[in-house]
Amino acid sequence: MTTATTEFDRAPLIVNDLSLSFGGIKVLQHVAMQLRPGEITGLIGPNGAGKTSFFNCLTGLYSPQQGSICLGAKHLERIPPSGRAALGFSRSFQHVALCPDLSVIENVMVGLDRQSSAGWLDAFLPFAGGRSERAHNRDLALAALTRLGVAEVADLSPGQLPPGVLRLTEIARAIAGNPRVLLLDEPAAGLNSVETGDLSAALKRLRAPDLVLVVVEHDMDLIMDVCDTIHVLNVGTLLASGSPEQIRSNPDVVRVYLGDDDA
Amino acid sequence: MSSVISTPRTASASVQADQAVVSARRRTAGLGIAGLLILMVLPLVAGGYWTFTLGLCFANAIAIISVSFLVRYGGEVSIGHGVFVAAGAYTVALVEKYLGLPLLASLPIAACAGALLGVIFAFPSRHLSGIYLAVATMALALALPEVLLHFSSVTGGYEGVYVKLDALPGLSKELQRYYVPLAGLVLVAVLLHHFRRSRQAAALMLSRTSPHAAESFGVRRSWARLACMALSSAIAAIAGAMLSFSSSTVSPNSFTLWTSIFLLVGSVVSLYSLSMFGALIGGLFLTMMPMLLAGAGNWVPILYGAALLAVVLGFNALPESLRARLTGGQA
Repeated sequence: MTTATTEFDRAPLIVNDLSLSFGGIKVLQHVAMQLRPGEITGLIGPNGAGKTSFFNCLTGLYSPQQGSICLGAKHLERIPPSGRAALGFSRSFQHVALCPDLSVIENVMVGLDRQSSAGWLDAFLPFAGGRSERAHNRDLALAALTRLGVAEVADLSPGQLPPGVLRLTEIARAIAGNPRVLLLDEPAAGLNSVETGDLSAALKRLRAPDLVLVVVEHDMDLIMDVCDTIHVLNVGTLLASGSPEQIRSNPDVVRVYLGDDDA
Repeated sequence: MSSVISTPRTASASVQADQAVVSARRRTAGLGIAGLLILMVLPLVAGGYWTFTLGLCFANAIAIISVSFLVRYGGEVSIGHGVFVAAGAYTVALVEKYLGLPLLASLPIAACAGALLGVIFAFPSRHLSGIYLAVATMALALALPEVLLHFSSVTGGYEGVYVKLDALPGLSKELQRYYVPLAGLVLVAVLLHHFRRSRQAAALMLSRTSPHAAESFGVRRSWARLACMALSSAIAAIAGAMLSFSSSTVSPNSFTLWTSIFLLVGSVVSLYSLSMFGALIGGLFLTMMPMLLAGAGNWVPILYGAALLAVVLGFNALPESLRARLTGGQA
């Protein structure tokens, strides 16, 4: 059983022939890629290329009209977002999606909800089981915040914090539950250059043999620094895939996205 | 990575802030206990009129909390909560009439009946929100009196059903009608205070503000709606049970559309508070204002509206910290 579990844990996320359209607008067309655990994969492309829609297909928020998404041998097409969360999918959002009425650490603790077992009686009454699970979850959430260097803000409200810290809080929520597939949507948006450097170091520390880590980002320095493999989307189609060096020297990518200065 | 914090707090500033929070909490807890003690001795000095009125006020405060719960945790407005209050009230009355059981035995049944009714309503309406859901709840409230009259052989028709059995034997009826709803209000407020820190509460609140994010972390939107409605309706049914006990009778006249509208008004007046004293302000407004204006004849609606405006605008003019204390903190 241990061997089987390990094999499943280290299974890649395989996307095959994925197409998504809204009405007549084709958002993704025949996209195919393999997202391997142990690597940091970058997903880049101009605005409107379909990067966030691709993430939404992976997490089940969008239902693609065609194609398949498999985690190892397991097909995910019919599994709803909550079911995929139970399989270990976790993500951050392009527009920060924290609850303003919860403190920072309470927001992070939502990331542990799928692996918590405290029931309704624990919610209303101070039973020992519920209290110890809550204390344990708080420790895990604090550890996630510490990994991203923002443990000081744990008990503050999101409304009191600058955008960069909110983004790191979202990433902390995404990593708190030890996900198997971690999708980060523009994690460096709103960060200054020093903060981006710190984020880059934090992302490298997140690399783990059984974690599929995918980053959508416009900050090319960050992408080129942290990623092992990069996929480039353009107008819903996969334009190129390869190592950072290969992408940097790909003439099509330079033409549609990077520009001469970056190349 | 402390560089991400634009204005890092120094250790001493942090400790001072924590101490300030702790002392503020102690002050709030102290004021709460003092207020509760005053309420507990009040019947010994106040007359029967006040004891009776405040008993109703406590029950109304619980009903107001049920509406505020839906607003706070579900982000939805109900104009039909009188239906769930009625479910609790009639359950208590009918359990006494047919099974001969007193309030303390029928209260859990009433809460379950309320929750069940909430789920039965919430399931088909789980994809409705905002004004559409509000109007759907209003339809419930409009239909209720007719339904109660239609089944008059069970519900007692216009005359209703009486609630006579003692809940706390040994205590005078007058005092029971005061202390039982007070105990109910304290119980509901304490349970909700504890609930606020639970994982379910956090999941409901994230589902309210960012449903897509909540789905991505395993919190289904339909689960959130059903859970929220079931809990809110159960609280409303507890309020109904207390109301039926305090007023000794239940009849369709007590549960018209206006009942539901006034519960929403009470919730707004209390700033959607889930704390005991915040809800009590709404309960006092709901119970006392019609009595105070009773002699004003045709001026009643105008004076009521003016009083409502004054209270709402006055509360909103209060300092942020005082408002936060009244509303029981965040959510």
